[in-house]
Amino acid sequence: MPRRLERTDLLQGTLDLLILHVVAFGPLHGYAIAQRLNAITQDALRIQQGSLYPALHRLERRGWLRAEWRLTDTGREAKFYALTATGRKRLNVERTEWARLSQAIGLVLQTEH
Amino acid sequence: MDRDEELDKELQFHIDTETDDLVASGMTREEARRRTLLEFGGVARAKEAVRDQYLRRVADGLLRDMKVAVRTLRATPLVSAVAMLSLTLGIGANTAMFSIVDSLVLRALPVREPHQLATLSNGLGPTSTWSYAIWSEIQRRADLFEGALAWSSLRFNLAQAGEMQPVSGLIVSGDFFKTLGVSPSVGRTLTAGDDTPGGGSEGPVAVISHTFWQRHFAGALDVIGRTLVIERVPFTIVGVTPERFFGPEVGRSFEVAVPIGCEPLIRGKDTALDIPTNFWLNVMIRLRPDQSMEAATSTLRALQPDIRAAAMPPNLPARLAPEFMKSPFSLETAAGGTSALRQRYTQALLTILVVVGVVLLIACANIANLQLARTAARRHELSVRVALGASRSQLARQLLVESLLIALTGAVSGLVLALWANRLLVGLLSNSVNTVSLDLSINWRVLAFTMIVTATTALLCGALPALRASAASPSHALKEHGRASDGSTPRTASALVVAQVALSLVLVVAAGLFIRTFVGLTTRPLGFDSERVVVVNVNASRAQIDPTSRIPFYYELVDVVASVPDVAAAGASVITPVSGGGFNSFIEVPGAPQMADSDRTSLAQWVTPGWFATYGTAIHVGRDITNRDDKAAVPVALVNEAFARKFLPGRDPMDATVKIVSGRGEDQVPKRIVGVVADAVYRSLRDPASPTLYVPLAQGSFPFPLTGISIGARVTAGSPMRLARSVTASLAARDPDLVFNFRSLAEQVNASVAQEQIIALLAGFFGLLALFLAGLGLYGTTAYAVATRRSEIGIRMALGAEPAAVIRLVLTRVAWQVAAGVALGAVACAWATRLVATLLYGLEPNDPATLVGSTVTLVAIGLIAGWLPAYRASQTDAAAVLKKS
Repeated sequence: MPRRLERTDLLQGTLDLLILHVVAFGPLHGYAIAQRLNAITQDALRIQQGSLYPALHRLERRGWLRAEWRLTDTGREAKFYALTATGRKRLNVERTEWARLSQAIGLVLQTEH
Repeated sequence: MDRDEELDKELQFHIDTETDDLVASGMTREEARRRTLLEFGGVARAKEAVRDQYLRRVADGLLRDMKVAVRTLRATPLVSAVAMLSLTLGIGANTAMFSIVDSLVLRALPVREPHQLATLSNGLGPTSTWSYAIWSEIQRRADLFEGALAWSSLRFNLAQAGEMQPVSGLIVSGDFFKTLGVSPSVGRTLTAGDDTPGGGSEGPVAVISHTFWQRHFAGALDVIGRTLVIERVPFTIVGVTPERFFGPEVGRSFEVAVPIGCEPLIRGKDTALDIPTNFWLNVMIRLRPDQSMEAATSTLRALQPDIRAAAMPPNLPARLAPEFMKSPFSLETAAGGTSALRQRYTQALLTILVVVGVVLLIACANIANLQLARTAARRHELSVRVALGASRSQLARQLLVESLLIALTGAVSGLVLALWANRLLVGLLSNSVNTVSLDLSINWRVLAFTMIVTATTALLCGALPALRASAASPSHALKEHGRASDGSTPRTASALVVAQVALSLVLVVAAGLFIRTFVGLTTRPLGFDSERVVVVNVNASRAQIDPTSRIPFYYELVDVVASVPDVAAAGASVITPVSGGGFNSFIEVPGAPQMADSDRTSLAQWVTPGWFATYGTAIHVGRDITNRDDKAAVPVALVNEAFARKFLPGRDPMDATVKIVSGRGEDQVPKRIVGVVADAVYRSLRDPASPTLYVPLAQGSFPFPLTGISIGARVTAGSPMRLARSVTASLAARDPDLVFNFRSLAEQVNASVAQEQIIALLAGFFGLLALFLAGLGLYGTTAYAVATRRSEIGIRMALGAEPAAVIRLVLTRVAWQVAAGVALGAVACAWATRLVATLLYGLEPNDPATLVGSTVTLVAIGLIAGWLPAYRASQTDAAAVLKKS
């Protein structure tokens, strides 16, 4: 069994950004989103299902995601989430914000005291 | 598929798919499932987390706000307690007053379709009474309406002899209960058959109230058929009315009702049935559902000539007959029944309702100020919350929830207070002369009122701070919070304090006016000694004495009372002084100044020798009535000073005569004036000293049966009430059939100013409360202003300002607030006090002394409230302040 990586708690709002990012490539169901997120972050940011689904529902309610029931490849019914037009705008905003924030944090950390 | 099912399905899909994947990678199905569920942190938890999102927005948000509010209020327990206490008093007083106004003025009678009821009046007032002859004529035509009913309220005596055992009685027409729509709770109500002279087939019958049934018969179910002796006549009880029904009169609950046909059994020789001049019945009709008040009135008016002609008293003086015929029948809506109490107290109660409303406003201003100060102190916290993403509406809501919490606490304890205060108030309204009973159960209207008041209170207290809080900016969080003072908060607070001072001034002035009215009335010279006299009202209608021999009999009774040990003097009069009743007679005084007929009236009283000495009314000129002034002697009279001033200016009264024009028989003969007495209160303390004529009882002739007499007994020393037992014994020994009751004259006097006393008491209490609240408000805002200007004051002192200068600086601000408040309040007073002019006695509404006195009081309170923080400011340690900043 591989050594467990240290897991980092997600910054509030980061999960939203990640979900929007992942869904931007096409409609996915919750499980697939979780898998994709874990794959991308190499399990460094372990997404708890307990926070994933609330986040999905929150984003849906805000109109950034659209959900519909569809059949999967294995023939089962699953709830697929897709990015809406406003969701795409939001994604761009969040991306810019994130870039600014990480740059700022980077600057702070590089500064010698 | 609802949201829950959908969520179940979505999560199930996740779990199944993940399990499948793990199995595919070589895990056993059990292990895979365990892992999945473990990772999931339990399906239930995930579901809950999602559901939370929906719920939190509604319930959780409010609950969280509540929790925060409770924590905030607990953080400053003293301030919160003061806020809650002032709202308890405010909301409690408002609820109490409203529920009394509701039961007395607003509520409909608890009968079927009360809005169809109308009382018959002569167009002069809401209540008129009618003779039995007129009622009989209307009753014969009752089918013009849905029905008609009549009643008269009086006291029945249940005692066989001796001291009265009074119950509140009703004499009612046969279909009284049926027409009102009151069904019995036990037995039956009365029928038209019972309402026949001397009683119907079952003889004299009576219906009793629920309260009387419980009190007198302990609620016994076999009460039907039992005998109740009323005025020494046995009546058979046939039914009990429901608990809610108190009779047709609000404020007076009936206990026993008997049919009009049995009235002669009760009043005996003095029955009113055969006397067409005796107007004693209240008449009410019930409109048909399709009948308007106007239609019913014109129906009645059309019949008026027939009814009046048939009921015309045969011996009516010719002069009065046209008036009798013309006086128009009118109908007044009577959904709320009739009520003497309502007529007497409505204005007073509404005034107090306004007063308590203003008190609540002042309390709200205080709480708004406290909240403002608290918001300012929490500016840092609020800014941090904005920075962390709380929306402005969330902050505003948080503060409104705090006010709502205070208001709700106030409302709950206020309701409890109101229940208690109501009983106290009704107790104050009642006295030994009148027993008041009101249905004060809390109903939906009272609850709705309290809820509206509470919500308004919460808004008034919370809106300003909420607005201010929602203006919190995240940038404030970054500033040093000790200095994050905002100039506009003290300004708003100042405005609130000015409003408080203005409102308080109005209440204090009102309290001053009402208290001075009461004091003016009670310290007014009475013209008699109220402290030393007991009044015995003797009723002789049961005595074995012929009505024509009653007057000599009364003279004899006076002698009996006078010979009781410790009785210094005794005298009888027809009218009990200050009882509210009396006669105003048209008179003629030859040689008097010219004046209109309607102006030539004098109050009239009939007395026995010694009456003036008994009451302590001084005879200034001439002589008292003596036993020789009887029917055979020359008719004489005494007059009071007011009489002499008005009718005999500049003349020797002893040369004059007076004739009672509206009287008959002997009264028509001119009476020689033989004495002038001091002015004394006759009917009520509010009446100015009016011309009064005193006639020897033996020379009087009365248009009504003189069934009783009022005997005054003056005690040699001590309380006059100690005579009650010995006087009872002597009177009972003289004639065991006499019935009587005792009342000290002081009690009688106090009862006549009950209304003024209640208003003065309540207005005084709430005026004090307003003063206290305004002082608290001034103190609070000044202390807060001083706290926010601490560094400025520190700098001033470091630069050499004297402590006195600092005190002056702070007090100047207070003085401006008080001055502005007083100026505004004085303007409000000029307008508001005019509305209560009719409640005042001996004062103008804009009485300058009261205004000045109230202003001085307010200024004094203001200066004390301002001086405390000012003094503390002057003790500021300049060095410490400067170091800190």
